[in-house]
Amino acid sequence: MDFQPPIINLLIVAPLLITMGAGLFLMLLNIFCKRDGVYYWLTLAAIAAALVQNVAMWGHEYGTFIARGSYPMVVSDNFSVFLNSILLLSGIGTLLISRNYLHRTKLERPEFYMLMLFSLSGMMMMGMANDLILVFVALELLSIPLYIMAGLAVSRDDSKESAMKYFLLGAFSSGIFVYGIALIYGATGATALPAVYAVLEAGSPLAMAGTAFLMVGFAFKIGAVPFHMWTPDVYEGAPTVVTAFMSVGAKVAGFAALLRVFTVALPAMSDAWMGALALIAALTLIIGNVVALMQTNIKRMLGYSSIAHAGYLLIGVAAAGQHSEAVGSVLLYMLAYLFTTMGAFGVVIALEHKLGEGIMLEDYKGLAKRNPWLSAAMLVFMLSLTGVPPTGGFSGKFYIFRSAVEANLWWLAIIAIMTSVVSGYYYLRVVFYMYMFDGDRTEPVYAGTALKTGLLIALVGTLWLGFFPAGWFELAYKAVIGTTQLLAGG
Amino acid sequence: MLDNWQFIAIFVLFAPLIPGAAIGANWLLSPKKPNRIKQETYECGVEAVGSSWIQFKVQYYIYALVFVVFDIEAVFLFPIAAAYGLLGAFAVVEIVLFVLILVAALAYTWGDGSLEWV
Amino acid sequence: MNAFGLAPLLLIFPVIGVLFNGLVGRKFVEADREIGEKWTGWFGTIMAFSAFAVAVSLFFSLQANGHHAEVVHLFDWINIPSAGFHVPWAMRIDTLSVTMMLVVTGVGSLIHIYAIGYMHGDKDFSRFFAYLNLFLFFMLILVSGSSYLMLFVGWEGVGLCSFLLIGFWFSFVDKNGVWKNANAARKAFVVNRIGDFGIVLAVILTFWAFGSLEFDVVFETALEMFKSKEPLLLFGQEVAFGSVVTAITALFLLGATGKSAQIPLYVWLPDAMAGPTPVSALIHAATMVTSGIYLIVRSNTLFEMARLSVGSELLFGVISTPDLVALVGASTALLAGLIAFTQFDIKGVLAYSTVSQLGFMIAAVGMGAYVAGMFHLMMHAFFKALLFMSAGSVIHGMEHGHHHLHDHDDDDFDPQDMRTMGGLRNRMNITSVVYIIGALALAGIVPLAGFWSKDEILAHASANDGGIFTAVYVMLVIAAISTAFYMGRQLKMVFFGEPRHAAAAHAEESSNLMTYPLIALAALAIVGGLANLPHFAAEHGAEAGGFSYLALEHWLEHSLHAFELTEEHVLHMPHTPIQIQWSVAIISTILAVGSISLAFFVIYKDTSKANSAPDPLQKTPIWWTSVLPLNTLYMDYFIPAFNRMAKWVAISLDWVFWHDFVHNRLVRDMFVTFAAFTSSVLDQKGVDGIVNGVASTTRRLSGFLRQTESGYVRSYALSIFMGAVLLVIYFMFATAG
Repeated sequence: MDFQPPIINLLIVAPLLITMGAGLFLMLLNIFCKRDGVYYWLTLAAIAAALVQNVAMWGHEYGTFIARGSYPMVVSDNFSVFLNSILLLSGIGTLLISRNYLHRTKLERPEFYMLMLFSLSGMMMMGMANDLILVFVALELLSIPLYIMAGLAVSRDDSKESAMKYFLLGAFSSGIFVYGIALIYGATGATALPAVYAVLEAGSPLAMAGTAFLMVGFAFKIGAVPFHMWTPDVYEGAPTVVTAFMSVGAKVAGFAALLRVFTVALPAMSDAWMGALALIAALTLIIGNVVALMQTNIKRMLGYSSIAHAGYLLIGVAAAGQHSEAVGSVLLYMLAYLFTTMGAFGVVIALEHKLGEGIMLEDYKGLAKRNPWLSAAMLVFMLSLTGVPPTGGFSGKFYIFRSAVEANLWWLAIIAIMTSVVSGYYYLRVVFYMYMFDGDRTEPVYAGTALKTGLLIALVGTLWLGFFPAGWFELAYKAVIGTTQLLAGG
Repeated sequence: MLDNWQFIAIFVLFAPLIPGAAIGANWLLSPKKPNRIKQETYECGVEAVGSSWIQFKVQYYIYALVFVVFDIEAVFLFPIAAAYGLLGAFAVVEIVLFVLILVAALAYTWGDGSLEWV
Repeated sequence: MNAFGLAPLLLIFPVIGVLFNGLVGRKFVEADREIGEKWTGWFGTIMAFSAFAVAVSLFFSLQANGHHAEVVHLFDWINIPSAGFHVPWAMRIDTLSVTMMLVVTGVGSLIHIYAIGYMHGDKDFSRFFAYLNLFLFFMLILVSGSSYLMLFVGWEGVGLCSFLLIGFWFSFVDKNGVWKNANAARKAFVVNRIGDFGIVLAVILTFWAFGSLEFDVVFETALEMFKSKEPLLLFGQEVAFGSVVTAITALFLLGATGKSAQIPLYVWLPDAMAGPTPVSALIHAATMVTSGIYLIVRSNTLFEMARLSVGSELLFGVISTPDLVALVGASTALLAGLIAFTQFDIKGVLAYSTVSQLGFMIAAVGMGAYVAGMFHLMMHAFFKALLFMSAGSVIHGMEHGHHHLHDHDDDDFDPQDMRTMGGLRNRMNITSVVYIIGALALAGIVPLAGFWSKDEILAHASANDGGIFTAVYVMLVIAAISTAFYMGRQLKMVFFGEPRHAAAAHAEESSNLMTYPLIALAALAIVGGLANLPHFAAEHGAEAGGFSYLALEHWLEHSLHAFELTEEHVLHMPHTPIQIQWSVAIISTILAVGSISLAFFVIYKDTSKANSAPDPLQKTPIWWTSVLPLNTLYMDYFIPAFNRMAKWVAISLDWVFWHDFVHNRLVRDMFVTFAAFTSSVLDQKGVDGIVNGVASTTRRLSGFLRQTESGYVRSYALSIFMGAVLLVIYFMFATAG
């Protein structure tokens, strides 16, 4: 038999290559150059270049790494371009808010930047992978650097603890995930998503069990109940910049793969997984929001809040089994979540005067007087997380709830509304502390140029999405309808 | 439909039996003449001293990791070498890239000073 | 000529004010106190006045336009092309919204001027004006939005501003060490969240039922559905149209009880008076608290349909939602009116009075008397803002008087306690005159503003037959009498008699910046009634001397859909009296005058602060008691009985039942307990516990995990494992089923 090499178009994976190559380059550079600023700027440049290349691919549908007679391993379509943009923006955001923080906490090491670039590549691959095996590779590529990053503050026990917990549990859930792939392969004899779709019939028990296990893997990554328990611990222990990166990047990437795998490969069983996801979403909303009420540590509170937001996003995914518009609302919500969460973490970082200090709710007392700008920004972010109009958080929730109703998941929509009413209490508590107390804190607020730039972008993004979501939704919707495969599933 | 689930149930039941049977057969069939040396953890003639719960130097792990990485590299190299005639230039490019990436990692480890035994 | 293009400026001016005061105002004030205050204060005020000017130009544009509603499209907001769903940012300029705009910006501007004087010397001067302008912005969004979603944006926004402004002096700790202002802010927030929940559900239900949130489309679709009498398809089930409308309106009512402080959610408003007085006047008396009334008036079509729908009666037995609205309003009016008797805080009386007057408006709109409700809303905005700001002036004066004393021996002097006042009319001339005007207007004395508006509501209640209307009428009449009584009591305690405290004897008149706005509002409180003067004769639409009667009625009917529906005879509006009911008017006037006089006689010389259990009704020499043997009767029966009733209402009903039991116990404690329970038990102990329980039974299986890992990771891992098992089981059943 004659061997024919697969069709490879490297241009399609150029954003991946840029970030990964930059990571490798930094690895080598590390031997010669120890100046920190170089790494920061190089990383920023690499991500910006990847973003440009990524956006340039908008409006096309490509496939690459196509073995003869088979499906492409990697695809690039509007869906992946949209998600990759979110991910790359989250990378830029993380860099901006980390500039001063890493410096003053003595965490600034070249490894931070390399690991971030590698993880970012993995995240992007999640949304582009068209094959279960590649999804798994991407999952590992995104996770392993994050494990290390969580433990970057080696001097602190809680950081090491969080890294260890994250690693052990991550490995555990990855194992379950691989088992799910194996079962799907057993049921269909295929791992390429379209191939699975073509072969799979509803009700195959092997595929059912496989789907359940895949769901566990994804649910772990996005921090959905009952696979969420690592989230608050890890979020609290990891350095705050890593937490910010994790809470946006890892979550968005998890949802990217979840959406593609479930809507492209498994629509035959959409009834079953819709129900399961809806149940998980309901649990996630309730537990995430209610437990967040009692938190006094901002990072932990944001950890539970990110669980809760995974719940809102899951509503959209559950609804995606019925109509593809829901995918658009999930994308929009992610965009709003990106800006808002990055901004909120930016403020947290500005107040964290020493590693792991200044992150209690108490520390926000009287912030309105010490730094009115920062507290006004935090006010907007908290309102957006609550979902108060006219902020991005409201627009996102509005579209999500609407698609839930369209998909006849009205009970879920009602739970979501009730829990978002509840969520007001803990988000607005931050506002309460900022505006209604006199503070006795004298520690400086670290708001350097980079952080200010990041906060400004986040603020503008949050409000922009709040006032003019229509255009963005159209874009997000194009990201879905431009993707025939997603529609085929819908 | 439930037929298929039954297959899974049977699988679940039988899967542990196979390793279990092997260990059990071993236990049944083997003659049992224990002595002190046979009960040693490592039955290799070297006497084990002290507890195994001691702190190892972390460099052991780094060495081990680097070794495993290059071990796996070799695993990939062999089949490519064997089928080189069939695969052609494509394979060469692929494997060179692969090796280069690993070399970069080695260079990093080296430059980082992790290979110096301290 | 029309100026509809100017409409966006209505929102832009306050935003400029917010940006200026919020971002750079502080620097100005810090650089130079005097000039900085002048700049920031007047800048905010000018922005408010500019918005008022825009509102006036819109008013004239509507006049020139034949009162046709105009929707000014700003830009797209939420857009789902595939579903044909559009919610633009658009302003609906019609007679109703312009009325509200005029009130909000007009009264708001005057309050801004007043605040320059009132907040003089406050360390957060510019922050205060930034908040005030922000409030104006959101309030204008609320009243000008063309859809329920925009209304909701404003609704949330004013709630936020109210929260921030109640807690403005957050560091204030009272003598018991309680963070009074901060707690009041928190309470307002918590209680209003319940109301907001109703609004959110109502908006969503509206969207499901009618497929849009634009006022025009919603009402028209609703009317079509109402005519066709076909059931709706919701959640895959057929639901009667009446039930849907009833549910929507009931949820609107829930929202209105929160924002407009009605039973059962009124508890936050009296506490909210802890905020600065201009805030009490603007937000918690004149504008924000009336947004519940605006909401109902705006949705009058839905309410009228709910009144007539057969399905609605299935939900509440015999009471339709508008009737429920009327009952809620009337009972709030009565309850709060009675509680106001027992207050000693000068602002406390006004706070309960506000709750009571809001009850009047809610009762009016519940009876279908939308114009009367709006009329009272406007008049109330005038005289209650006047009263609050005059009260602020009195407090200022008392504080000045207290400063003049050299012996500060009584440190717990409370400048708001009416028991320390008395005889202030000699010390504060302007304030006392405008206060009396406001009080008489509120009490409903001819020909001041309150008389006309309150009378119209009472006329509505009396003119329409039916059990509920009668009950509402009786309650409102008693509430009106008590209004006159507590205002008489307050006037007597504050301005008449002899000073009961040295501070009162040395009180000083406030600055011009504070008194001029009061004079302007007093003028409005006197002539405001002209806005909707009823006929004295039976001719319809007559004009006398170029002056049109029922101007407001004719003006507003262009916006009230229900009126148009009446002409089509689809909906029957309750009878609108266009002719003054002489009997009602005379009786109410006599009662008002009588009860003010009663208050004057009863409250003779109040016990001073030294008396720890003060009783305003004790030691009341009344002239007739000397000639008639009524003394014993009065002292032994009437006073104790009256006292007991007033106290019972105040203590058991209001404080013990609503504040302590319902709010603190039921709502707050249960919420806290629930949250604590779920957090500690469910998440940490519960899931861990279950997991550990499983772990102990499956110790051999998990032995490996136990040895290699430590800490809680094993629980987490088991949680993941159990989740996986449960998912597989779920999928099995999903397949089998």
